[in-house]
Amino acid sequence: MRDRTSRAPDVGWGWRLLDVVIAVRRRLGADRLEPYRPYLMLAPALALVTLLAGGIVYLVYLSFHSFDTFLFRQGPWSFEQYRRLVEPPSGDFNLQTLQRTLVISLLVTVGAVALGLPVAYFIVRTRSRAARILTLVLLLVPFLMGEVVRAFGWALVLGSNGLVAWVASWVGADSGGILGTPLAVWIGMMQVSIPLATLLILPALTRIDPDLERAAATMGAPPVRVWRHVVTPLARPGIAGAAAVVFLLSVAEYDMPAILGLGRLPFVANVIRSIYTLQNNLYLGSAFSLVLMAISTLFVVVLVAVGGIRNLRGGSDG
Amino acid sequence: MTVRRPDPTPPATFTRRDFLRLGTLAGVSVPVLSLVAACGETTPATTAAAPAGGVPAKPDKIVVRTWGDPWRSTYAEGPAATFTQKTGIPVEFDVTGFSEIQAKVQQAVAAGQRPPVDAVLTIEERAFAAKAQGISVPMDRSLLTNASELSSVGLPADGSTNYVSVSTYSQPLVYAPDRVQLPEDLSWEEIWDPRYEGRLFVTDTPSSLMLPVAKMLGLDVTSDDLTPVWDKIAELRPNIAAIGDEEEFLSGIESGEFDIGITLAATALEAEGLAWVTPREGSTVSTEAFWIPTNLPEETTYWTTVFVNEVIAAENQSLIAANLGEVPTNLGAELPDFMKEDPATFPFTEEDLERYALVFPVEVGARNNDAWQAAYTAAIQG
Repeated sequence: MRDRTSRAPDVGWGWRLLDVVIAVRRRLGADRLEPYRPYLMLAPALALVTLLAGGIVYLVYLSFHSFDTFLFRQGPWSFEQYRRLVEPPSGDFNLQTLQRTLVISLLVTVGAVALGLPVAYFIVRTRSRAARILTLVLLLVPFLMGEVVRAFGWALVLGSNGLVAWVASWVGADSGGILGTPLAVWIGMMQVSIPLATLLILPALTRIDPDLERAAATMGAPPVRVWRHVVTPLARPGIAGAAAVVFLLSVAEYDMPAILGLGRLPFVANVIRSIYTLQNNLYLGSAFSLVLMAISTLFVVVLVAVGGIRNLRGGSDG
Repeated sequence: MTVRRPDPTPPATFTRRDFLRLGTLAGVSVPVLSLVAACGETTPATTAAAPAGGVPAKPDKIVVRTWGDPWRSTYAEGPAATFTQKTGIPVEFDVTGFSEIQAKVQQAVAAGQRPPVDAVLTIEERAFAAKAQGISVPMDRSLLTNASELSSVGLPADGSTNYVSVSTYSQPLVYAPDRVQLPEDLSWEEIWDPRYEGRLFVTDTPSSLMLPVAKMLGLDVTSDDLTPVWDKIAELRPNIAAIGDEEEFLSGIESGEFDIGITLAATALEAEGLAWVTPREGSTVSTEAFWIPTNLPEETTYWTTVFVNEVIAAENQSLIAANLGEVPTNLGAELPDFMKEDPATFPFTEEDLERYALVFPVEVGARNNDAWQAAYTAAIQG
């Protein structure tokens, strides 16, 4: 039989420890810090933002200097790195890489939001608890494994000896797989982007009162019209937020283009890695990083402007 | 915004917004000022040699940067084991990437600190650059007793001892003979043939292709304009299925993504059923070398030089040849049979090197690495 009295000394020690903490707090005059508690609570976030800002300032500093990669010696202030980004022999290639990165990222964003929205709607509106939990679990599965593992998994499926090639040959088509194509990169990136978009849209859909949809239906609106004129406008802040996050993660993608693109379809991140490690030129890499960051930021600003995110509470102007 | 105060302490004139502004300013200023300070002149390299007055004290260990397996295990099994046996000094290995370790040593030396490793195994052009950057020390020749057995590629051409080349590797055409047949006597021009469309792998660094192409075009990479070389390489794009490093070559050729690749002959030995051929123009031969960073304690430099000497001992060089498939620089080393039978791919003697090898021009390559890599990347991926 369990001895219930055996835990009594622990409780006593617990209270005594608390007394000690309170005594130390009074001795230190910690109560005087109470008015500053909001500031102190902000400190970790501020430290993180500062660290990131410091990194960006460093990138800016590097990008506006010339650099001798052989002697590893920094030169004077200069626009040399930005000139190199646009001039031969790399100018056309860099532009092409930037275009590829932006176009595939936009397609991933559109695809992820378009497919994530109905899934999120299903999770919110289904009456089956089991279906809701199962869907959420399935959404979380891709996050349980690393990106490189996911990429190699897709390489097996999309490769010349993979499932796609097997199905193609079974139906009589001559296919060597689709690895090394933009489609393969897009598919690989979609796997994690769809769940991400779904989870980001969920809160916005949860806040939509189901009675609004019922009211619209009562007035004779078919489901498509209800979806178009009621659900989508009210979910717009969530959709815009999801699109921003998916896009920002997509433009910084490295593994999927490297593995599923077979090295032939580099994104900007792949080129920056090459510049850093193979050209040994962190100054040029910094310049390209900042160009990508500026374009990404511009995209998010536009998205926020047109997406109806007017405040942090997720209010909609729709 | 004002802060609600629970007690009658003096009213706050310092708002949360002020706090954020001040914090951000301070936070940004500190790293910026630190970085500006850190970006000043680098510390001049010190020259280390054997200390006068006999054998110095032994360090607790020496740390050696290599590539991962099979390099690490081979060096552990060979030179590290015999070095520890003779000196009692254990050897630890660091497998940081070759670019990253160079940058870390540069940063450590610039900051006046001890570098993270005591010896660096890298490609020769990076070892040459380390010397030019003043971050490597000349090794004491009297400790390099095995250097007299090295071939012409063993020590720097300028007679210095800032690095010692320990092995060479060539980059022939490696292929899957069950999927494609290549003639034994062929030119590099062969891989531009349209029947190899989408079947070719190329490396992500220029040395493997630029030297053969330059030779095909009759150009000298050390003096001529290389635009025709990059243009010719760009014409290869339709045939290129994949671009990457040795691991990506192995996984791709085994899964059937491509049938032919330009890669290290040693890489071909890691997979079963692959064959290789060196075209008649020869293939690029590059070198791996050890260098020792500056800013190390004198005794560490001394014993690390002893370790490097152990690496170029004939017995350990034989092990490197057998395990890594790289050609030793010690002419007294024993070659495995597959190397003896194929001097075009594994040039060992001075005669072999002269006849078959397109030896990578280290100094010009190191000076132009940034420009050549940029041009090559644009040519194959553009």
